[in-house]
Amino acid sequence: MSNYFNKELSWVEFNYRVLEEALNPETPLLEKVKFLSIFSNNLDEFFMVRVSGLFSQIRSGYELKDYSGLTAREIISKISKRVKELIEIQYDCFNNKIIPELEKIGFYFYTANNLPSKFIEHLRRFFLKKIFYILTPMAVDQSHPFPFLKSKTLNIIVKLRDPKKPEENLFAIIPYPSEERFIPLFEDQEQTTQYIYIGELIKLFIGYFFKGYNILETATVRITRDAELSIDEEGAEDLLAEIEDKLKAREKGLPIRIEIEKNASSELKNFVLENTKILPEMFFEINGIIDLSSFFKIAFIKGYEEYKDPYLPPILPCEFCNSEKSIFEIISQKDRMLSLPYESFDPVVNFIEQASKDPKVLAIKMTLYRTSGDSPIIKALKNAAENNKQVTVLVELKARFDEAQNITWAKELEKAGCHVIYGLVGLKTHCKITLVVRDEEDGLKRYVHLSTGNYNENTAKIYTDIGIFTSRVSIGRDVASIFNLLTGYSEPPRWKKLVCAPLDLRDFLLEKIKIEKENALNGGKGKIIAKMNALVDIKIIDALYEASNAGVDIFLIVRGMCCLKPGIKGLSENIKVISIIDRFLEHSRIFYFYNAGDEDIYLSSADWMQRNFDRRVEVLFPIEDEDIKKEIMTMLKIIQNDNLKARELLPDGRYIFKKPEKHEKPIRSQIALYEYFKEKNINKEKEIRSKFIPKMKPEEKI
Amino acid sequence: MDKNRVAAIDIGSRAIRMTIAEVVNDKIEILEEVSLSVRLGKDSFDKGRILRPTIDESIQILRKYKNLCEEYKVDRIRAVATTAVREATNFDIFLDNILTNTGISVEILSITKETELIYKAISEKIKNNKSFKKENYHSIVEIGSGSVEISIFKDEFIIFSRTLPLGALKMKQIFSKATNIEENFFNYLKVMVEHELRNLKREIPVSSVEFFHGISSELEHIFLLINKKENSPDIKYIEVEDLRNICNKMQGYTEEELIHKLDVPYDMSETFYPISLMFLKIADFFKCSKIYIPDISLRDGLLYDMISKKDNNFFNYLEKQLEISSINIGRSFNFDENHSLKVKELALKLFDKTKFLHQLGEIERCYLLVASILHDIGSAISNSSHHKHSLYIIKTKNFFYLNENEVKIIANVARYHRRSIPKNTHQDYMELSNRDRMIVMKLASILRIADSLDNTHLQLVSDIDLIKENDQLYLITYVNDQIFAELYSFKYKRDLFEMFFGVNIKLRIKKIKNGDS
Repeated sequence: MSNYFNKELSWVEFNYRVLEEALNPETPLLEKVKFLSIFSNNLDEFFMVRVSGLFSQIRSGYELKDYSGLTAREIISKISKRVKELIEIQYDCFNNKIIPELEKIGFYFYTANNLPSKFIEHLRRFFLKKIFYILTPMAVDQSHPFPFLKSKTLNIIVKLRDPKKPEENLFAIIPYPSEERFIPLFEDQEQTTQYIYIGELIKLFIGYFFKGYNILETATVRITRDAELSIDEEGAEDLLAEIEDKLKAREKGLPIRIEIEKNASSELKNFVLENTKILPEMFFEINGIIDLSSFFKIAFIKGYEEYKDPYLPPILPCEFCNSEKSIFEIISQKDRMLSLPYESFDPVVNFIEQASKDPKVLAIKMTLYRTSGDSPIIKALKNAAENNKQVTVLVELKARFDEAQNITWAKELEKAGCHVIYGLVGLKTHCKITLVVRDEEDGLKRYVHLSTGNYNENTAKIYTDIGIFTSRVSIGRDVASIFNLLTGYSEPPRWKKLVCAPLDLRDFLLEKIKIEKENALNGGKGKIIAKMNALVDIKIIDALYEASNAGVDIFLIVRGMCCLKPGIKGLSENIKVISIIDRFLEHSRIFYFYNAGDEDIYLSSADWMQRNFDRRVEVLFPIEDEDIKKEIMTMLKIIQNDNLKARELLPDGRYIFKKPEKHEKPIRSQIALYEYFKEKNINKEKEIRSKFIPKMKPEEKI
Repeated sequence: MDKNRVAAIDIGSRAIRMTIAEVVNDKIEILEEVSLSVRLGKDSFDKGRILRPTIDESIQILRKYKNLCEEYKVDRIRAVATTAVREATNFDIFLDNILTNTGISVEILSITKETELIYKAISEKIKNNKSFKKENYHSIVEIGSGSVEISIFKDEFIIFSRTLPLGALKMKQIFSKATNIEENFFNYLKVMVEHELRNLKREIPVSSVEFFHGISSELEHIFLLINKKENSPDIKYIEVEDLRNICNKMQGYTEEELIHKLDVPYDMSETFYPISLMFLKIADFFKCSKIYIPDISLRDGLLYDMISKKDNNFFNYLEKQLEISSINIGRSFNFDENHSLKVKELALKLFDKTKFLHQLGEIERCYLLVASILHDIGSAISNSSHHKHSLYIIKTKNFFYLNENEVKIIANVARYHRRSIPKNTHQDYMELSNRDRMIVMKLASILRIADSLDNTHLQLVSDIDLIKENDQLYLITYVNDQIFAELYSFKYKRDLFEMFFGVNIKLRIKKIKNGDS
């Protein structure tokens, strides 16, 4: 028996927990739709990146077992088995619960088979006018090989017969666009909630493409391809151009997975199987409409608030409300924390915007990993460059699936006069840091924002992340050094406060775990609480096992993959692992060490994974402000006590919902945290209001 | 509020480093410290010159640094280069390439200046620490890949400074051709260090060194090995016994073992043991039990130098510095210290009084000072022709802040303190430029008179004055006793003075009565 769970299978279990949220009768209808769609979208990425990685191991003849004792081949077959079970569950839920419930509130999604005949004429006109001309059916026979199907596109396979040659079945494929998957049944598109899937519409009128032939059967098929970019960075003269090239090549990756409608005939299935040369285990028969990720749009449709989670407007902490003070004054008084999405992201945007205009600001430096479309941050950075500030932006081109988008920003920023860097050779820059250098009367001052999450206003509404503003000199120096490192101005310095990957982040954590272990062995107390998205690194896991054996109390909050086996006698009996999946995506990384009573709290951009320690630029930073420390401790306590959305990991790898005991209050930590921040802000406002501060004559501006 | 930003750039053997600092009311606040490695030393020590790719790389680095300076709106940049550039035959091309490509003008630091800057940084750092006393002897030992520099300071002055040809990389290269290097290298090294230190014993001032400051990145690593964590960030030191234990442990280690067992950084693995051993040997030589590790760099010294108000008393300082070094040299030759100091006193006085004649300045006064203290030093070889021995002894000596040519001038001045006056058959004299020869003439003419006034080596003349009556110069000598020998000597030795300046000079003797001043 191995001491570790396999990471891919652990990931599949994580996705099951996402699915569970859709199965939960308590979840509002449109949120259920959202979770179903996320489940599908997650699976797509999983096959494109992780499963494809296993395949390339097989191709390269790598036969060794991983830490969990499985070969790549074994893992693939286990993935296949479990994913098939989950898809079964997903579609059972979708077909039998979600669709009828949606119909109850007026949402109809018709297929070619169940479309009421009154719509046919209208749709025929629409089809002939808008769709017929943009599609190209491709015959497949001896002279026409099976065409190249792009990754994640939908295609209709047609089996047909020439009435003059009834002994022979012919095949054709029609790839079709699926960006607008739902075709409204009425002209007034804004109002209607009745749709037909575009693929089903095409099936309905497929005869138009094959006049004189008999259509025997149609089925939808979807192919997923390997999406790992293998970029030769050392040899790449221009990383930007290289990635642009590779993005085009990515669409042509090897096929990994086929999804096909379950009720297609075995002749059709065999036809696809033979022509794609896919492993039978990667052939998924779907009992219903393929690719539910497109339902994301439906989940976020305007209105229908009663079928969504109640809106929790982000709280703007009152210290940021004072419009007379500049954000720099606010930060220089005291370190400030923002806990997203409970609190508002606005101060971060404000920070960059004010910096871009402030005449005292000399320089702005920032890392951008994933950022949103028309980001005000990008706009502010461009303004800053136009205002003659030194603007340095590290745009990570290698942010997976955001590569194309990031190339666009990078070019825009460069045009505006920013100094743009495209990351480091061989390393992804994953840390989220901003530095503003300000030339003040009594000397130069640095303002820093450090965060566990991306500078992205959209995800800031959904991801739980913590950001810190500080003007502490030592942290400012370190952050300036990181930028010198990233811009090639310097080799690594001696750090004062920050710990960085790929330099010594792992060693630092191992040392902290060892200290807890030694304290416990010496008869003292040892305690670790760590919250992260994934726990995969074997060295860290081993250190945690050792600490557990020494009597250290370890509580881990790991949202996704976790290779550590908790609660096993003689190995990990003092380790508890929970995972929280709820309306917000748990994303913050918080590490607590008891440290013989001198408690330490760190935040980080890094998960405890090999790739984060060894192949990424990551930052871990200490919380030095006592008030913020206390606040984060309170947050951790609330999260630890979650008994509605928390699942506990069992020694056998299953995750079981925690339930409130009889004497316990039910706690849904995300809601409890929101209430906590709301109340805190109300109290602070009261405190401010109860002070009578006479308004002074505004200081004369120099 | 007085505020400005400065940058100090140090072009060293392994890297180019820059510190950007903000000076607010004379207080230095470090803003940035950056470092990028470039193997200037390797080129310079291996090939004798800096190769083109290395020059280009250095230009790239300095361009980046310049950008960073612009970002901070730095008011002043000072860039210096040390050993690697100093020793490269094509240093001038290197400097010019950098100037034309980056606009940064790089100054090559003399070893003396480098040591002085480091001492400046150290003394700033220990200024407020009571356990250090400036009036004690401080030794600074810097071991780099190219050389070993040993200097001794007291108060503000350099007492002694020597560069030993023992740099760790240089040694390695010398021995790389020998057979069985692994086995024998360290034995050779031990012998070499001991040999050099034995030589040093003869030159080094008798005084004992109280504080030993060691500079090298290897030493910092040893500190971490011994202390695990930096517990006393203010003053760091290691016990020599700890160093000895580590050296014993390392003796049989290969470079790989050093890396794995002692966490020695890869780029140090070659030099780690030799440098540790050298520190140990030097500490034993000074009989010091602690090696202090100042957390300072050349750039710190540069920054202090940049912000310190340029004092007008530089020549005052230089004079004192030169006097100390000259006396130390004299002592190592067992010179007649009382005589030398008397001649110096008289010579300088005469120099000041005859300014209207010679029109020389502060620096020439310094030459005279050194020459008058050391004029008799050749007697240590043999009394006959001792002025000639003085000439070549002085020529071999290193005087801080003086260049080779200046030392030659001084050597010539000393040489002409007796016997023949300069002739165009004298080779050492003719090597000098026209202008310098005239300096020698003038200074020697003064020295001859001053020397004559202490002919008995008994310091009978307590003071002098010079008056001019009509066209006649009178040298007034205040004496306690009869001065027959001096009088006699003066008659001969005034020859050069009279010949050169075209004046007559006569002696008037004034006796000081008891109680008279």
